[in-house]
Amino acid sequence: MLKNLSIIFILSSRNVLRNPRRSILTLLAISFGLAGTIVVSSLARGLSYNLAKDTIDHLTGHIQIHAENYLEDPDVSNSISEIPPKLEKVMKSPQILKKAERVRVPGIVMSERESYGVMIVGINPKEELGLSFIAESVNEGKFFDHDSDDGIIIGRKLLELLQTDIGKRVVVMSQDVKNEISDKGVRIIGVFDSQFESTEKSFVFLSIKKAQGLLGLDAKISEISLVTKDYENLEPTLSNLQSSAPNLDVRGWRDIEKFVSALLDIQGKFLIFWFCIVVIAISFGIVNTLFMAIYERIREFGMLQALGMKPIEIQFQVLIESLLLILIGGFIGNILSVIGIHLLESGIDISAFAEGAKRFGIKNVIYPRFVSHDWITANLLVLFLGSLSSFYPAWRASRFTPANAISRAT
Amino acid sequence: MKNNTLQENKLEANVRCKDVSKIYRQGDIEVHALRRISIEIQDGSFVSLSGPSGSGKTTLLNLIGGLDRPTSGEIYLSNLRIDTLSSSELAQVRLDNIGFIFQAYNLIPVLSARENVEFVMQLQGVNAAERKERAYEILNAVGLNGLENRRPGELSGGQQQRVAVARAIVSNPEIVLADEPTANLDSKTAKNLLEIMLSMCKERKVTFIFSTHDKLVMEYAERLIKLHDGEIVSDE
Ligand SMILES: Nc1ncnc2c1ncn2[C@@H]1O[C@H](COP(=O)(O)OP(=O)(O)OP(=O)(O)O)[C@@H](O)[C@H]1O
Ligand SMILES: [Mg+2]
Repeated sequence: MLKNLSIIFILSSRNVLRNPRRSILTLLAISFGLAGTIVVSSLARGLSYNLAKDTIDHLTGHIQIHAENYLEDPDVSNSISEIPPKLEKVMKSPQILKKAERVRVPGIVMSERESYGVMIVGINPKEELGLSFIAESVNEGKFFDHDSDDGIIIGRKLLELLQTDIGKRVVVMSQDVKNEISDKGVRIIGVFDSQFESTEKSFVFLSIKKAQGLLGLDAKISEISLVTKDYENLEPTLSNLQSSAPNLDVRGWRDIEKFVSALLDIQGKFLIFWFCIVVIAISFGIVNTLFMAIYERIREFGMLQALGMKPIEIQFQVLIESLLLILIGGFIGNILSVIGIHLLESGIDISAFAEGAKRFGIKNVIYPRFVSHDWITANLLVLFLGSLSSFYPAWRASRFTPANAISRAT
Repeated sequence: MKNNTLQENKLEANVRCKDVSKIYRQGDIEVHALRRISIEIQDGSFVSLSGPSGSGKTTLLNLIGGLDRPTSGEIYLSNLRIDTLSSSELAQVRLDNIGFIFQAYNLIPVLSARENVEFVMQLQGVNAAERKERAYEILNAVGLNGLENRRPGELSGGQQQRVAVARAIVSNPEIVLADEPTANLDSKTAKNLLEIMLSMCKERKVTFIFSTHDKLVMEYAERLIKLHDGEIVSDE
């Protein structure tokens, strides 16, 4: 049977060309379907990427290290008093690109009119640069230069709520290590903007030394935030860090930002769902085309059998016909998707739909993000489901009794 | 090697039908197309099946060619009983032993005249050079030189039938079954085609079985079998 593949192939390819209009329509369905899945999925991935990146930039980083109970109770008593030398060493390894140490405790900020509960974050300005958003988000006033600078940086929304202004003084208040209330008047030296309104409302920044002083922490810190080479593949780095610091709580960002992580997972599943829907639609198109192509050629299939072609060879002929359509359509589809992604490279502005999107931290512009395994999945699905769905028409074509097939009026 | 196996697959072309009946069922209606037909056809003969429309000519040819199965009875090509074979086995028997010529639309539309003629040889595994040579030779013999590369749509009805005859013959079958091969042709063209077939029959010792309404065809036949209502009414 294999030895007849060449003649079968000739029959198949000429039959594809026999009804050009129908073949072109099928090719269009396959190629636009495939290009559609790839382009839309790349936009969805772009959205996910933004969300993950914003989450990471926010203050999370890729990996965070805390004292054992800090995440359940972010109290000064749950601080890291000493970084184990082993951990110190791992953190210097090339997998880790950036590191920031922070103090981070709940507290209150008061102006003469209002007071609000906030998270007081003590930072080293040099370490935050390129790791979290804060270094690049102070749009009014100035950012800290040193880890012992005076002053406080607050969000624009909080500034509004406190009805105060840059250059004025506010009081920060928290519980220190001896469980005493400790407070301090500080001058507002900078105002930051964030895409999350909640961030502007609930975070205030001191220099790390001043925060430690306020809380009586000496050199203790609340958290270490790390940036690695690949935020999607943290496992090896994580386990390295964990084994070097068994008494500390080392976690990846997905473990900390559980909500965002779940959102991304759902989106990933939705994409697979979307792939399947489109590919099933494509498959129906293929089946429909094949049936049209078969039913107008019943007589011919009878004749081919009369000439000595075996049923399985007839099945092959139909399968190759469909495979040709799938491969050519797939090829065009991939070219279209490259063009599509390229055209969208400058981003799609969704600000028209994005009223209030700021509250959810969604940016106004989506950029497509090509993810190779989505591309492979989409292609394989088209190839696999497309071919699979051709089996039935192919089988039908081989099942006509030659005598009946031939006696049919063409 | 290939040719050896082919030779082995060849059957002595005597055709034997024993008590063959064919009943078509359409809903509640049964059509008795053939009623307990028994015939034997010798190697190398030129036989015509005639009879009024609906008498069962096509049905009988289809059964002999294994294109359909009888409702009861046995059909032998030489010693091989074919009515019990699978469709794939039947295809192989046809490929090795039987050529077909139908009334019309015989050819594969997407292949040229030469490719149509080569098609069966290709399935048989004949190499390309030999295929080509034999195809040109036989197309020449049926008077189609110069038209080898035309597709069926670009040939007249008579020319198409000659391609069909060439194709039926070229694979060296033992039997050629022709269902009203001249029905769509004028008498001059029909005569020409019959001359070709008769000479093929004699030169190559091929058994030809025709179905026909055509007096002309009957004149050429060595044996005339008349059917009526699914029964043989005369055999001379
Ligand atoms: N597929 C079929 N289904 C039902 N009845 C059929 C079928 N094929 C043939 N018949 C019936 O069987 C009988 C014999 O048909 P057949 O085609 O063998 O006749 P024929 O002698 O070839 O006639 P014609 O000269 O018109 O070609 C007819 O009554 C016909 O209607
Ligand atoms: Mg007939």
